[in-house]
Amino acid sequence: MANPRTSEDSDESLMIRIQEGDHQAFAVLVERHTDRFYAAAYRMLGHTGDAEDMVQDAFLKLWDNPFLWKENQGAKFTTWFYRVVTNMSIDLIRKRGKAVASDMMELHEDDRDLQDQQYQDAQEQAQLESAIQALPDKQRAALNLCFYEGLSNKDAADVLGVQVKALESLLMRAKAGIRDYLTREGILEERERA
Amino acid sequence: MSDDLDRVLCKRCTPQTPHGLAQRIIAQAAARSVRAPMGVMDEIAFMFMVPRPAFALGLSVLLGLFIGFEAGGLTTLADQDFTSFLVVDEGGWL
Repeated sequence: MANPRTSEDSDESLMIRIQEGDHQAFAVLVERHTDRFYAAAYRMLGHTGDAEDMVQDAFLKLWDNPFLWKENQGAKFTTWFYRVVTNMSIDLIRKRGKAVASDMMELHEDDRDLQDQQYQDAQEQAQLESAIQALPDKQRAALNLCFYEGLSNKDAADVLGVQVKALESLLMRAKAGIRDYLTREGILEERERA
Repeated sequence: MSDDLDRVLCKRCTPQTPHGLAQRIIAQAAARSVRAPMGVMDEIAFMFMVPRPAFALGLSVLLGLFIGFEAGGLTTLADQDFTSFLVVDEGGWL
């Protein structure tokens, strides 16, 4: 029987119920977090199909082995699951040997029909995506977690299994790499002149 | 310049989740919940499985003690003179 409090329960109490085999609790958790973790996977992988498969695999892995999350270790569910998704994404990228071209990097001929400003924005976004996808895995993960997922430096460091200082170093190098790339492509210089 | 970079970083698109992804995941998990049919040998093995060994052992000990106390009225080998079996009543016909 469905528990009426399920949708108000914290992620952690839902996880405890999932460990007892409660499918309703699993459904609430999936509906609550699919968007967030799909976005995280997509930002790492840059490909819609891969990101979809990745999120699906990660949630089904959780359903099959709910005891992988350990309540007594005090890990927040979201922090732990970011680690699962990030590690699975990095594994997939390494297995492939290289990152695939991001869907966001594609600028079609039809886009030329857009207004000048819109076209310039689209071009800028495509260049930014190329710059981010060109970063080493850990730098890209650090940037995604802190800048786009809104995690604190401490949580992001936990996800990546590094010290906070090391995370800050990854972030700095990631930003420096993107700045170099965009300067080479003329995106930042153009903006500075404007 | 850092502000300029941050402004560019903020322009990154937010990906749209494919329609119905959550429902597909939930349905797949539900399908996995159904127990696959077991073979005859598996069914037999399943009958003898002890799900909680510590609980089963504790229950066995308690059951043993209970039976022991209940059977306290019966004589046991230790109560008998264990040398009695050495005495053979030959009936005195010699």
